[in-house]
Amino acid sequence: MNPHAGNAFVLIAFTIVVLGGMGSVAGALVGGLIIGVVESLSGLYLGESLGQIGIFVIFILVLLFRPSGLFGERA
Amino acid sequence: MRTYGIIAIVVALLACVPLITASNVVLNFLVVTLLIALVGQGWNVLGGYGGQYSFGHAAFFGTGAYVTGVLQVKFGVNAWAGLAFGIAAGALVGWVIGSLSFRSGLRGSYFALVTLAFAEVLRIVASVAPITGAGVGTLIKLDLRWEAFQFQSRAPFYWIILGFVAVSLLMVKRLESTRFGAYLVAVRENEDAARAAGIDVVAGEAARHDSFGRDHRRGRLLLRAILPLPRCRHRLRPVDFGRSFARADHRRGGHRVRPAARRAGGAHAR
Repeated sequence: MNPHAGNAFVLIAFTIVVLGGMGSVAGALVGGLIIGVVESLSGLYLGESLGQIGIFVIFILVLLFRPSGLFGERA
Repeated sequence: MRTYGIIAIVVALLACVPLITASNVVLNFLVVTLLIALVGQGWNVLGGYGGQYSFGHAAFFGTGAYVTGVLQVKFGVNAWAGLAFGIAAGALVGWVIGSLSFRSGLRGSYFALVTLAFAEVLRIVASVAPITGAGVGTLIKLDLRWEAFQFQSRAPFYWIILGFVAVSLLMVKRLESTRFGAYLVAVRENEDAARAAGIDVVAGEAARHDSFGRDHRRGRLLLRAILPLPRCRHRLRPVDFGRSFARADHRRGGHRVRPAARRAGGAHAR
């Protein structure tokens, strides 16, 4: 246990919320599922240390095509 | 004019410090301080003037540092040439990230998170890829010659970083009075209104992102003075706003284009 125990989850949690679309509960749910599956699969195929790249690549791609997230309202 | 006077006085006073003390502790402290000032000034262009909060500035800093260090250690490139390549690489990364995220219209926390995601990708790659030395990093050999960008005393590092800080202060101050600076503020205050007024937001922001990347790259020298790995360098480079001016002006009909922008605009018009 250490004071930084939660840090690993904060970034992922924020990523999931933004991926799904801010203010959307369904978006957070779907975003969480996507991130979880992508992380596991990319960990499997790219190796454990490179696994997290999958999350961010998916995240960047989604936001480049849907700037407000999957279920976010258009700004 | 008054601001320029203040900048000159502060820089002149700071430049005298190594004449008063030879203490490495003091100089290291000041070098880090100035490095942070430099990096902050780089962020100021995008975050302060432009109002776009980026969490990804570490990517530009790290790219420049790694390119410089890896070229030097693994490819035997001269340290000063490596510095130039490092800056070019950092600018390229800044340009790619900036144009991608602004073109797709990301705003606010979406923009912040995407820049952070880019930085995270680069960080993960750097901590895994063999060429960067992975988690161990890259050690630069001790070679105390100025050609190798290494000095016996801390004073040269201090003066170099101070020079970069001075130039960055002047550049940012000057930015306020340029058309590009006005665009930045306009976009910060109201992006939609700026767009409606004919400002090329993507070009403006991408260039801003880019320039801010360059500012960051400037900070590398400092790190290199402090950390054995990876070596960090920076070089100052005048920011080329010609193209973005030209693009924005072009849309407005090309009136009142400044001479430099007009030349760029002519080439742009093809």
